[in-house]
Amino acid sequence: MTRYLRLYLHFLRFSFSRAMEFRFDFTFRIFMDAIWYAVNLAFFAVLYRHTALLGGWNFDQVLVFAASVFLMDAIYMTVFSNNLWWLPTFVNRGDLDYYLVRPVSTLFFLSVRDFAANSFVNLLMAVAILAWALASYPGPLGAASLALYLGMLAAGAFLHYVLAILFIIPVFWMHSGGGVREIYWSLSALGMRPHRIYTGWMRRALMSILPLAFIVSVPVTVLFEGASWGLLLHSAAVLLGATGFMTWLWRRGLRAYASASS
Amino acid sequence: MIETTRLSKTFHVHKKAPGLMASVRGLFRRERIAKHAVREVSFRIEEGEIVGLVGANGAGKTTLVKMLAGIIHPTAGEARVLGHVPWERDDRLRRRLALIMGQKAQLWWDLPAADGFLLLKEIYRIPEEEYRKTLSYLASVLEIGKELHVQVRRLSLGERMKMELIAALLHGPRVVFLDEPTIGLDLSAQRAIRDFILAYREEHAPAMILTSHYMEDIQRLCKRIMILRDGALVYDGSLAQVAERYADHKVITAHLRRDAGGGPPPALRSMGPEGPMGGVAGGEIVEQDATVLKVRVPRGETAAAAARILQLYPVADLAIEEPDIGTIIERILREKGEVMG
Amino acid sequence: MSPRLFFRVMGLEARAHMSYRADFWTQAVVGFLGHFALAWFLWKAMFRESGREAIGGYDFPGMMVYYVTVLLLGKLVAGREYEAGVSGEIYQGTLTRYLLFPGRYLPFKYAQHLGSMAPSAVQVLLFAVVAALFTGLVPGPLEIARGALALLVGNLLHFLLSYCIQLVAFWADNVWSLEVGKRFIMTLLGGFTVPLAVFPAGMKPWLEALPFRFFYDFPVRATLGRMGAAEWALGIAVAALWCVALWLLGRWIWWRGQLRYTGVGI
Repeated sequence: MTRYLRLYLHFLRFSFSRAMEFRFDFTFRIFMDAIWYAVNLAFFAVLYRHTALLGGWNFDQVLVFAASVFLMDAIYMTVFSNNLWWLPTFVNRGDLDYYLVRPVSTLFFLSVRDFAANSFVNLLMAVAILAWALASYPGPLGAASLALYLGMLAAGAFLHYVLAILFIIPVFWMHSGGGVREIYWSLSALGMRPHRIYTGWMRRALMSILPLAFIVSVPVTVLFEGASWGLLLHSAAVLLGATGFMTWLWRRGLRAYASASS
Repeated sequence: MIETTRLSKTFHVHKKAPGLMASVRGLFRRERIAKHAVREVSFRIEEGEIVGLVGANGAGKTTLVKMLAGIIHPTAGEARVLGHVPWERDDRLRRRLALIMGQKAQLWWDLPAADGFLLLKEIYRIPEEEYRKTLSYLASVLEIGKELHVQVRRLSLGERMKMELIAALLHGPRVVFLDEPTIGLDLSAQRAIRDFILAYREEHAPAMILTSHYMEDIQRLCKRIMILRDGALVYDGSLAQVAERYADHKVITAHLRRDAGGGPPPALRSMGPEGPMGGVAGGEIVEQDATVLKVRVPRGETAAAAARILQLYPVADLAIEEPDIGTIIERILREKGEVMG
Repeated sequence: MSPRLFFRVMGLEARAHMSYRADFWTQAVVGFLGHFALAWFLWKAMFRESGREAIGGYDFPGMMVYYVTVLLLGKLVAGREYEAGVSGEIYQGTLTRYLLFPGRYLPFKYAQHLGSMAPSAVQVLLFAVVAALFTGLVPGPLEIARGALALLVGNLLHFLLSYCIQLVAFWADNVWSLEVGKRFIMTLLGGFTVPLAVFPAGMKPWLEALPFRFFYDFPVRATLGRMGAAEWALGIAVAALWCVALWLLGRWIWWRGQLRYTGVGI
């Protein structure tokens, strides 16, 4: 375990070194994410001129939700996104071989090797915005709810990664992986709105087979309303189920890869 | 046709020190190193000449060619190609100019060559009749007619190069820059392209600059060469004179006849004054055995040394050679100090 | 540039992009359905929880018609950025060939840009026909004509904006973030995320002055007949002015940028 931690520290060091070579990129990314945050906040601000509640939340609550989305996105962008972006290319070019021979979990290596240090400032910004949103929330926030919320948010970040990679794994069998990956991006937008705007089968789907609601929306609900044991069990089941399915599919994929390459 | 006056180009490159702290510092301030790619190069090339541009990697050849083609702006100096300043990119100049780079493609990779040519026909506004004649001539000389409808990316390197040549010459340019046109090609393709360039020059007499690392290219195609060393022009003159001026010695190879009934000829132990050669200053034995005697002698002494060998030994065959151009040029490039042409 | 050359370049580019694959269609369908579902549920909830009948002058069905139209027409203005892109050519050094050709770079690129949209155009047409059959709503010839011109101008305007941004590649090591940032801004302020009428009244002058509305809100409302003749004509004029301004900006940036070009790339 410590070995993995040490390995990860090396990854971090290299990534930072490399990222700062590209000064403009570093600066522009900060600018780009700042715009994204502003646009999203403005979006909700505009909507709330016409309504007091959306998805059962008032404006202050939705701000916390938006800030949580920013944090999830920032975590994904810095820790995972570069790696997942290149994965289909590696598979198609047969470059996985170098990763397979290392005495380290291939999945770990491939998923976190490249830390997007040029997005690091964005991560800091997202944390700052969330802290601000929580601090300016006028209602009461119990310590227990807060702790639960943060824990579920961490789980949500991991779930986001699991789902993203789940949609990339088909590339082991279909060579143009790009299509499936894009599909996940179109769908994940659904998780960036309060889950209670969805009704009927859609909401059920978002809480089970495509558990996007658990990435941000459900943790935020827990923050404001507390959690029942049922909900916590549901969350745990979703997380474990998704992770289990993903690891199983990943292993099948690797086997397909190994047998296909010459 | 092509004329430059103290043309110079300096690039600024950023230094990157290793380590994390250096990287953070690098975000705010970076050290710049000036790289003088081309230093005050002046020359003049007329219609019909093919001039070889020679130099080590990084000597500035490609940079010079790109300035003349108008792709890069110089840092200092002047140039005129067909009376125009190249980097102003006047359409009237561009219509009569061609650049062929061995390392970078001009044609579009996912189109068949024929489609790319049609596009170029429109871009250069080549009249229909002339286009068809030129295309069929070029394609037949390069023997590539059958591949015209294949996607460029599917062609072999040699075939692609031939297509690039056609693409560059379709509009009948008066100035042609060839930057490493034979790089990476097999011998037969190299030969085909060299023959083609010669034939083209015969027909159309454009002004041509050829850069290449292959000495066969230079020797076969160019009567005049310019040597660049670290961006400066250190030699500009005829290829033949390079040998005369910088090859200071020749190699005499004598194939020896076996004397009927006799033993092996007496060994030549030294070239010095005490030996049978009677003093060939600066001479050196390269190789000798029962059938061959090879000596290296200073240029001025060649005749005398050859005569002595013929006197002393039963020579069946005598050959006098110069060291090859490549070696000579390498020497010039390695040498420091004043070299002139 | 001669019209013949322009159309030849456009045609070649269209042909090069026309190789469809299954995922091209699945992506388009899933993308469309996903975005539509998002809009559906969002506005259903908005209307339900606010208790209002209409927001920004749109009732729920009207809002859905707006979204379907913006999802379709939006693709014709700003679909996938032209893959090779101006910035790609600067970074790879493949800009060199265009510096050698007689003629200007910009029209060449625009022809390629239009050509590369050919598959999207086919897709949009198909989807539009399906949508029309589904909803029974078909815009009249006047609306179609106005919408088409608005789209053309919007497409050109977006291309020029993108072109100016991509030229920053002469100086910066990566312009992708700028392009994405532009996307975010234009989807909000252009009327893709929400119709501009939903914005507070105080913002109206700003939204009308900025060029973004010509990418989404303007062509969609023209096609849906939600716009009078005077407003349409004024809009086209303003859009044309923006085109000229961006074209001049582009020329200036190009002139400064090509001084630094080395042809080697990154």
